[in-house]
Amino acid sequence: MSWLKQVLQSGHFAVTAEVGPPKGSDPQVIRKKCNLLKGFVDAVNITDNQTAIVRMSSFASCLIAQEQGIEPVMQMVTRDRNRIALQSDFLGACALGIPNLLCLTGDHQSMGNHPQSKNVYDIDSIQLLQIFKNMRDQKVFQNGEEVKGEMNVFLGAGESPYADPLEFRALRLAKKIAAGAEFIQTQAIFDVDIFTQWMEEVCRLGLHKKSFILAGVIPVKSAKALRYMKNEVPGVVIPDSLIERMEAAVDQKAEGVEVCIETIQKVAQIEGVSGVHIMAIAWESIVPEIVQRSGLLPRPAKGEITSS
Amino acid sequence: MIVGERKPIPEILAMLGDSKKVLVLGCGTCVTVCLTGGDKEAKELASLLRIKGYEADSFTVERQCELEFIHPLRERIQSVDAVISLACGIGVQALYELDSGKSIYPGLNTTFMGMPVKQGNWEERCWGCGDCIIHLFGGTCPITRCAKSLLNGPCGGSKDGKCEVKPDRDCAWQLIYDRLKKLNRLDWLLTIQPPKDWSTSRYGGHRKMTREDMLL
Amino acid sequence: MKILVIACDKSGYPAMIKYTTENTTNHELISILKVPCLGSVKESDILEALEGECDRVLLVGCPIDSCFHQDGSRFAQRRVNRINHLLEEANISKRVAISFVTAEKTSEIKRTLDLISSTPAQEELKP
Ligand code: SF4
Ligand code: SF4
Repeated sequence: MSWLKQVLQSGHFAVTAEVGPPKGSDPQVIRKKCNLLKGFVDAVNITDNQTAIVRMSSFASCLIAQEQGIEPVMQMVTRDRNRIALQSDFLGACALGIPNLLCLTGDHQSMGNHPQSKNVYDIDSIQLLQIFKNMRDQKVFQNGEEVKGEMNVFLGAGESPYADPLEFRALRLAKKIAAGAEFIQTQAIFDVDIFTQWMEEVCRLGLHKKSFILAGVIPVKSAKALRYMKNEVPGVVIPDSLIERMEAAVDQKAEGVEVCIETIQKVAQIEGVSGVHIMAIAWESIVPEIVQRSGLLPRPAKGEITSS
Repeated sequence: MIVGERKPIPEILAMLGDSKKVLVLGCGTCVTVCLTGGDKEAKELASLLRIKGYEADSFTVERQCELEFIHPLRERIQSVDAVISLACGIGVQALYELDSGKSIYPGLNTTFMGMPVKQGNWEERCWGCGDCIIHLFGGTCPITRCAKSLLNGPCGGSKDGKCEVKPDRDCAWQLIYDRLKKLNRLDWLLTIQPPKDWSTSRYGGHRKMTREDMLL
Repeated sequence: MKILVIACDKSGYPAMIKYTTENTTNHELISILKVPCLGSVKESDILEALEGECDRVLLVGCPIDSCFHQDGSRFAQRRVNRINHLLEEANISKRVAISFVTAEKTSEIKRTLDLISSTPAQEELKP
């Protein structure tokens, strides 16, 4: 059974991080990143050809992570695989004991490094959640045929509180939860005010009671990186005051860590937030420090929680 | 209508190779209206080819995609080395069905089914998915106009009404949201749209239609 | 450079006549055609003119904002640009130019004729 689920269900404030597989075949890359994170997080997301750049598959990387004693959250995007391949991989993941799946639509291939490719988008993330939920709970494939076996997976989805139309975002989350999302990891939060408003709406709709919401954060190394994200990364909102603060800092890297910790501490106070998801892209080594300084240690240990 | 864009002239010249006598064939329907393959454009291209030293002539048929309209051209095609068709891909294929034995080249890149949204601007509107559901989305087709063909709401990258994939294009989901809001039908968006049956679309294989009562 | 002039009968044509009677010119003018308005000159007409020995077509007519037929010069300007693009794409060294004059002002004509007679095709011919 998913450890992440147990941590969340037992009322602990969960911590997850992200590991991007390498643009190559060396398993050591995953092992090293996982070893850095061990003991500091409850589970690790393994991205699926994130930003449409070809990398080692999420599936294979999850198995490597598992060997290292890290619980993976396998990300699956609908950009590259149709319902046949996705259901097939779902069964494989169940068979190999991958306990968490995060269903995403995925960045359009035109934003990645093979913009000439054809995309799939046979289904969207909400339909993917529904298909997996029905396979697990109703024991049926998308076509209605029976599926056999144990499928003990914890299903999650992403959501951006910042994308437009803003008024629709919480309702869209409700759809994801109705479709089967048991946990949600949000887009990176830099503007805590907008996130707070969104969470108010989420709580008003009672969604925090139906699903665990993990607030996404990204530690940034410089004001330049922040400015780049503001302009280039869809679905993030970065207040100018934050960029100014970073610019004014003597040690921008240290300030970035500071900002990240402050954000974690702020969002942890917001009603309905059950955990954080730290996306230290290409900077996994900073995660232990962030977790520690945010007061999130020690992480719950097996045996401390009795599974339900 | 079907929209196409003229191929770059160097590409057309490369296709022609050492052909000397060339017929540029325009089409009087869609590509005339989108100003890429009508009589005017056919004349222009023939003129350019003559300046380049080809023995070129032009002609425009009302609809290149119907055998009835192109049959009368058979002799004319026999008298040249090559034909450049400025029709959409359907018209070019129809010309091949005449079995002229001549080289026939596409002069256009057929781009999409769409409409002129304003003077000089055309936009894609339909993919021909074979099972129209636009009434559920306030008349904006998410399959065609959302870069990811999302059926259950906008992705996380919709910003200020624009699409994350091409920031100069409208986000289909902003349009859908705005239209349904106006119609007081936002509740429709709460329904989870099931996976679409793509078997009616091109993914189901080559498509055809028959009207028994019209068969001869 | 062999030049064909297409002139509008409100401004361009009288200006051309005035210019050619008052000046002995060494430009190779093939002929001067009179049209009611530059807006009536189609792209295919210009291209056809370029099919023969003619190297340059020069349109002469009213300034854009005082075109007798309102938008004629504006449209002509766009067509000239488009044809020059087509010619460039096809790697043809012939070009089209447009010159805006009034019936009296002939200095502009000389300037344009000098320009198009000497400019290599690669450099864009702008009025
Ligand atoms: S739903 Fe299908 S048929 Fe209807 S507009 Fe969209 S692509 Fe075309
Ligand atoms: S921004 Fe809008 S149109 Fe573009 S992919 Fe996302 S939902 Fe679709």
